[in-house]
Amino acid sequence: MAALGASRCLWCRAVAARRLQRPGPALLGSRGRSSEAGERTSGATKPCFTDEAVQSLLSKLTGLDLQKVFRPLKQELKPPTYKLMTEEQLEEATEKALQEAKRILKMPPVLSKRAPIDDVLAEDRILEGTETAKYVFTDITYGIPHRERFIVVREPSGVLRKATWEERDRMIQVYFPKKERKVIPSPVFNDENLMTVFQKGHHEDILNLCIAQFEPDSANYIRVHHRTYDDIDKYGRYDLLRSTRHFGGMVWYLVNKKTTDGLLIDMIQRNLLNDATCLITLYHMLHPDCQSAKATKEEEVHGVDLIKVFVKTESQKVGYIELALQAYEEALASSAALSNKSLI
Amino acid sequence: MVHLAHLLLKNYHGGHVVIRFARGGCANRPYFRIVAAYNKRARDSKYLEQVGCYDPLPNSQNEKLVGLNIERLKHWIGCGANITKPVGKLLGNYFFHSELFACIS
Repeated sequence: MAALGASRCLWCRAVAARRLQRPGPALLGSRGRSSEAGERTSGATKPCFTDEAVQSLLSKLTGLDLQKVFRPLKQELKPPTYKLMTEEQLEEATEKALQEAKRILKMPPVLSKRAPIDDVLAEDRILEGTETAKYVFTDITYGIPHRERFIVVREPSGVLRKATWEERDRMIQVYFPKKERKVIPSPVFNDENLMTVFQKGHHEDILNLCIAQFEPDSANYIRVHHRTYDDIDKYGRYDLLRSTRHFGGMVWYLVNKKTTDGLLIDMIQRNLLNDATCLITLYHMLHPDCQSAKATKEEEVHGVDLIKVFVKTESQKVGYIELALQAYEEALASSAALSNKSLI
Repeated sequence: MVHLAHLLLKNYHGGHVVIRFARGGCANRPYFRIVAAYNKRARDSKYLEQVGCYDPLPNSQNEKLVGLNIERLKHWIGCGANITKPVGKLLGNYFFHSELFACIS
């Protein structure tokens, strides 16, 4: 009965998950181009967010808690469907659900901020004073990628300039509307209102809204994401994002900022030592010049010893991490002793 | 089968294609569609193709939005369509010298 219930949950959520917003093909195309540009400029030495090794480490850290991925979302009410399955069919259904979960957990892109557009095309001072409002001209020719559209603004002062990124996004949303995106971004994304959102614990929801509303390389997108990650790091609520598609981005940000201590403590306290070692490997990949990276290169260190080496050289909250490690080891020892006693 | 459609369609003697505004919207709220139509047709009636839109009332950001389908506009100008004065004024605001010449030639 429990198995039936679980499979019912998985099937319903798998169907519902297909309706969730995903980045469209145009965005994927431009994302591919910008990430290539990022790789070229960063050079062969620094690993990029999209590298296979980095992505595999980040997906291991994200985890795959099926119950959380397919938890009930606020959607239209439908009566639940029940299916009677054999053991094999149930296994197949779980397999399919795992594949679907992997697709849902695909990480949104991490790009650097786009450079502001500052191009003046013409200056016709004759037109000064003839108009009171700006004219925004958009080229609505079908079939041009949105990044290459001509969007041009004629100011009342007679200056003809290219539109800024915010104006471009607004115009493209007016003439080629995307679902779930508003023409004028909602005031939820202002800093004061973000505080209220974080207090209520809606980090994941605000990140999903942000992905729907802004382009990945816009200043607002990066600002909202960084604020969310900082808030989670400050209050240690990493579990809110675990098993969602935002966890990888958060880990990438923290490792680049070198403030991974809180996350390490949280992982040790939840007995996720594999995740902790993954995190430290990622840190060494990104900062190969730090002391712990060099130390671990010389001697092949694994597991708890790797964490200890890292803690001694790189972290700020040495005391906290060592306490957590001690507690973990004591818990291991006591559980081992208990299991020995039960065997006897 | 008897083909009568082309006989029933309106034929103009000496008419030509123009690119002009067709007014839509409501009372005290104009909204123009930039349209390629025969000269003799009524202002808001059947056109050959819509080539853009223009909202003369400024929005909350003090902008007047104009959308232009440049590819089709070039096609109609290439076919020899005339442009009315208001549309010409609007396009003059958009095009700066070199692109206008490139467009027409």
